Amino acid sequence: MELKKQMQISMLLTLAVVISIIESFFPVFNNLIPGFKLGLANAVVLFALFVFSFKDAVYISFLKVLLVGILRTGLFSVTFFFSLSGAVLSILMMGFFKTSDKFSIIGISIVGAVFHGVGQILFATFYMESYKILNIIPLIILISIPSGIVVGILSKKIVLHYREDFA
Amino acid sequence: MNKYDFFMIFILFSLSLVFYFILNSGASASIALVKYDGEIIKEIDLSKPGSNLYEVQGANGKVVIETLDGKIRVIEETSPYNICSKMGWSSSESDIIVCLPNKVVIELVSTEVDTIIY
Repeated sequence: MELKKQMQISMLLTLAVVISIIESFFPVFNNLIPGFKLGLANAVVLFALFVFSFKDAVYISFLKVLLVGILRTGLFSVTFFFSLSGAVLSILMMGFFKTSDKFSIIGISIVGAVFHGVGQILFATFYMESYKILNIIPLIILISIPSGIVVGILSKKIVLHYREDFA
Repeated sequence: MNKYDFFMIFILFSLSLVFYFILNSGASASIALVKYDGEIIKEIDLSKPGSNLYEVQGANGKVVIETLDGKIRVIEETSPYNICSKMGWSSSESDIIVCLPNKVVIELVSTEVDTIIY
């Protein structure tokens, strides 16, 4: 990896980690649905996915979970694996849906938001051994649609504005 | 946003809405099953009048549960975000309280379902 790109990716990674941590300090949405976040850090992953490549987006997404784990929740804690399962399913599905070349960045953002939630629920189901947890999936999808749209619109603006600087 | 995005939103929205209403029948629960690591460790009768406190052992320490007139909530537990105690009251058969870091889950069931379980 050349130095310039290495620095760009490090910068994006830092941004994603900082956004993630700041977002966890504001429990605004927690009052509506416990544990719910807008997922603004996904804008950074989307940026990497659309400006760089799938590989770089996976890299940022994975390292973000690792760093937030070290800084906030503790590495290899339950919360860490909970975040990791959401992030892994989210980035894989975003990459998969992007290969179709049919959806815009907003559509891909919704895919990311939906599968982030679904990934976490699947982990919780297996971890807690309670299949009733799966009942939450429809609600998770319903709230992921608006948050995915908001993050998607934001990502679209960021990509349009900064694409040249990162080329 | 293009037409495929709209199509996807439409499909996701309508499917989840349909499943949401199928799963959330709204019937009120009569029994709460407290599970730790998949095993039932306590059965709480929700019809017991007044405020009742129960204590179970979670992965991070004790989890204090309160019931009041058919409703149930977690009032004390140790976890990074305290999501399950911030959730508040649950009373419907479709509700579930998940204390992930504590590995404790409270499933609400009605007596009819209960007879099927045993």
